[in-house]
Amino acid sequence: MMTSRDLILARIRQRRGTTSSPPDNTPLAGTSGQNLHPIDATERIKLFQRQALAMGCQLRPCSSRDMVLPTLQALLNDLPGHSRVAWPQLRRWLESTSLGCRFGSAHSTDQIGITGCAGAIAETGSLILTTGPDTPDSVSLLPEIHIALVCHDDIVVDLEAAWKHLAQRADWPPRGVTLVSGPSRTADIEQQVVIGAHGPAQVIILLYPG
Amino acid sequence: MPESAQFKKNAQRQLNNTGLQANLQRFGQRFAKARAIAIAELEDFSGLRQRATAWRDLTLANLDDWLIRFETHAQRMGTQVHWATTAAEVNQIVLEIAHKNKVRKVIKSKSMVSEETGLNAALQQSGIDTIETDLGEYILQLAGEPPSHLVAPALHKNVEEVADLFQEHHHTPRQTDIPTLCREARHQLRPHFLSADMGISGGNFLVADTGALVLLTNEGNARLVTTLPRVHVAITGIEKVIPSLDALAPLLRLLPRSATGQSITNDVSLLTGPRRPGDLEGPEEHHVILVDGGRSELLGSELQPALRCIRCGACMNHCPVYQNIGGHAYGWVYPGPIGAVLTPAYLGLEHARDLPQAATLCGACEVVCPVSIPLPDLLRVWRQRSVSRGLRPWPERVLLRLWLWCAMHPLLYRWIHRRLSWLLRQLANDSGQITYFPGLTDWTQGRNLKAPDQPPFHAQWAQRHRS
Amino acid sequence: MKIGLWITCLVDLMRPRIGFATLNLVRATGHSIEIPEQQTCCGQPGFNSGDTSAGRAMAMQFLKHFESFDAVVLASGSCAAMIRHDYPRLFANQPEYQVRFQELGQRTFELSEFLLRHPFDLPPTTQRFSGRLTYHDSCSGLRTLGIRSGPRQLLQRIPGVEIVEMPDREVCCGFGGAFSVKLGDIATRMAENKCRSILATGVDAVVGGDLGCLLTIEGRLRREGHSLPVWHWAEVLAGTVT
Ligand code: SF4
Repeated sequence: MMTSRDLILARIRQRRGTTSSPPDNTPLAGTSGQNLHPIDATERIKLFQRQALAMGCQLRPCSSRDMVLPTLQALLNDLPGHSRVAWPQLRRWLESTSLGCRFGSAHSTDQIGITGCAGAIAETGSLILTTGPDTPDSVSLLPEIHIALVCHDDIVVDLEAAWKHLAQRADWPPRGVTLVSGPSRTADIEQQVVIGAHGPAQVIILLYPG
Repeated sequence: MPESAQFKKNAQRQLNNTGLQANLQRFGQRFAKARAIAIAELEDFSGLRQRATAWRDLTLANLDDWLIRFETHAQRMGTQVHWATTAAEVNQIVLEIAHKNKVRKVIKSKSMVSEETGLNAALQQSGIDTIETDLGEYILQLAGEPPSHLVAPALHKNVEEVADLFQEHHHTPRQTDIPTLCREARHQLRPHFLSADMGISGGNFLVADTGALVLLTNEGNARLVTTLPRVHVAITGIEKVIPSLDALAPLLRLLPRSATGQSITNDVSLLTGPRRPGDLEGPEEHHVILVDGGRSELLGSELQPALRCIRCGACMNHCPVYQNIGGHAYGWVYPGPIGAVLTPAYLGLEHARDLPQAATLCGACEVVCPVSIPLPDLLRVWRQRSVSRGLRPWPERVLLRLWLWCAMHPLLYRWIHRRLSWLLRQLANDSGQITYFPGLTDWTQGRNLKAPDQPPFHAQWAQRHRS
Repeated sequence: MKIGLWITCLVDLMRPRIGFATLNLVRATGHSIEIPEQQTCCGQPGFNSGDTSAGRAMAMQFLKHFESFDAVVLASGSCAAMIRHDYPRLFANQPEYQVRFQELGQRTFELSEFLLRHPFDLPPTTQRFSGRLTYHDSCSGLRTLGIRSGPRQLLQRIPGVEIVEMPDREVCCGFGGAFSVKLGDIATRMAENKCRSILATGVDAVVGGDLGCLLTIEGRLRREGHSLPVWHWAEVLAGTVT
């Protein structure tokens, strides 16, 4: 009996009038760039900041890696919400402090989620988040406030550079790759933009030099 | 008979629907203007558009190979790939997955293909609680209405209507502040996200080289739908496959900009397979259903370019017909110019006869389409097929033949123009205006026609030359 | 240079004055003009209704009567677009004809395109319009041929003419050929919107380059009781209206 798969493939082959030929995407590969001119690291960081702000992120630049924890501490003191959860990946870095956060998957009662990132994209102001045992997606998704720690060295210039960066990972492709650009939003009622839909309503980026 | 067969009547009704008209007016050029700004920011829009078009054409030319390539990679990552020839088969596959996993509650993020198949009704009929989570779709689910726009499904509703629906269904005090209503929806839906057994999503793209499903959303709901429940099922058309991430980049640059003027949507998710060993979360089963539903019919035909569509909605945002009648008049899932091309293809021309006529061929849609779909040409293709299949009403057919015959005989044509010119003058009132013309009431119902005040040009010219 | 003048079927029947205005303007460039007697219609009504063979038949007729000219001029963006853009496509399966149509298409000019390439003095007249005008961009001329600034530039050569742009100026007026007699309700609403934009400018007259649009706009304005004059821009330039 012919399965639906066979049927659909047969129809496609009949319509295109040839038998199978190996797919080849070489003629177009590498031509998808927006032609962002190669820019140096300083420019790249500036562009990322500009774009992230445009997407509605808040930025907290830190002068050095050592300043991240005090900045985070001060930030948490100012923010409402005591139920905090962070990526297990950050355990070593954050555990020694008195931030009072849990490490693991987020619960629906968590108010603040703290993550790192697998990279960040200057062109779009996006954080690149990948799923894994140490980097559960829910931390950046369920709480109202998402705090991300982003190192200058993590920032790549554009989408193409992001794909290249990701492809070098040992676990490529991970189960989930999410480009997060600013807080969640909706404009479904009268096209009025409202920040904070089902995901976080605030995305705060702590940016630090490598 | 589907609603799409009643286009003219639907359009009339919508033109007289004052509530809808106010909502359409509010929408107006909003997305169009936002798009113009976002596109102007690009260094080379036309180059980008050409590349996006070329990438889409590349997979459409060998769709079978690319689908197999996607399937191979997706399966390797643990995704279960299903193929469905028809809408009914899609629903059947989803129900089987649901039953096997003892699913009692489903949460959905936006899926236009599931609108094609009437999936929600099928799930509800089998006793499975189904909840839409995209705010627009959620509002429509409460109202029991279909979407009227690809990107802003509840465009036709105003805040008062939403307030009424929420009050009625949530049993909460009536609120008319938009941010408050959005928060209310978040609170209402959060428990469903946490308790659902299965998440259903659409798919913006399928990446053949990695087996990834790509989803673009702003609300964060697609991430929840694909992360929290035990089972994730994505339903998407076979035409959505792209070769690689190289192809994704230009499409990502164009889709949100064309849709709402955003440089990128808040979330872009690339999902590959189910949860992995050690993962704390993620679905245990990941399914992708590849749907034909009439798509393969378009391949290799003049209509093939329609399969490039990335569902951005720009064509309807710029369509003066859509802007005046809204999406429901088109009578099926896809409204606007692309709907007028796809509906006859997926439902049959005889069920959507008037849709290809519902355009002035002004070309505004073609200019903005990020994948260069020549929508006016495609509408003309359907008009040609209507003529060759004899689907146009007989007076139109007779008139066309008559016109052609006269136009092929210049002397006769001259004579007819002279008679017509005279007749028009007879029908005019004292100020030269015709306000009623038998057989042309579609014109005269809303517009006068100023009669000629001289004999035809060629008649005058011939006379001058003779004298 | 020998020029063939094409009088569109709508101009012939409904507004012969536009034909004479066109004739005067082309004459002012000093080239010799002929108006082939056998011309009828470019075929758009058939082609856009889905009757391809009708389109092809009319194209062949056009070829027969106009191929011998050095240039063909006509005062309509949509007919010029049909000839230049659609005729060659109708003969995709007959390359030898396709080439001939392409070549003829290259020699076919919408009036403003022609006048911008060929120097001329405004024809003498006692009654040239002066005042504020708004210009309606017709869709095919605008989007298929890219006619945007040409007619505006030409109109600005007239002393005392000021052009005021209307809101949403590139939105269709709702004519669309057979569309306007098949889906009258929608067409009327579109015309209504267009007229609102036009009236918002407070101009003394509205001009355009395609008679179909002009009949629509004029018809709607009169139905609403407005007396704002509606002209082809060629009439204003030729000085046959005041
Ligand atoms: S046809 Fe083009 S403009 Fe319309 S929705 Fe599809 S991609 Fe967007």
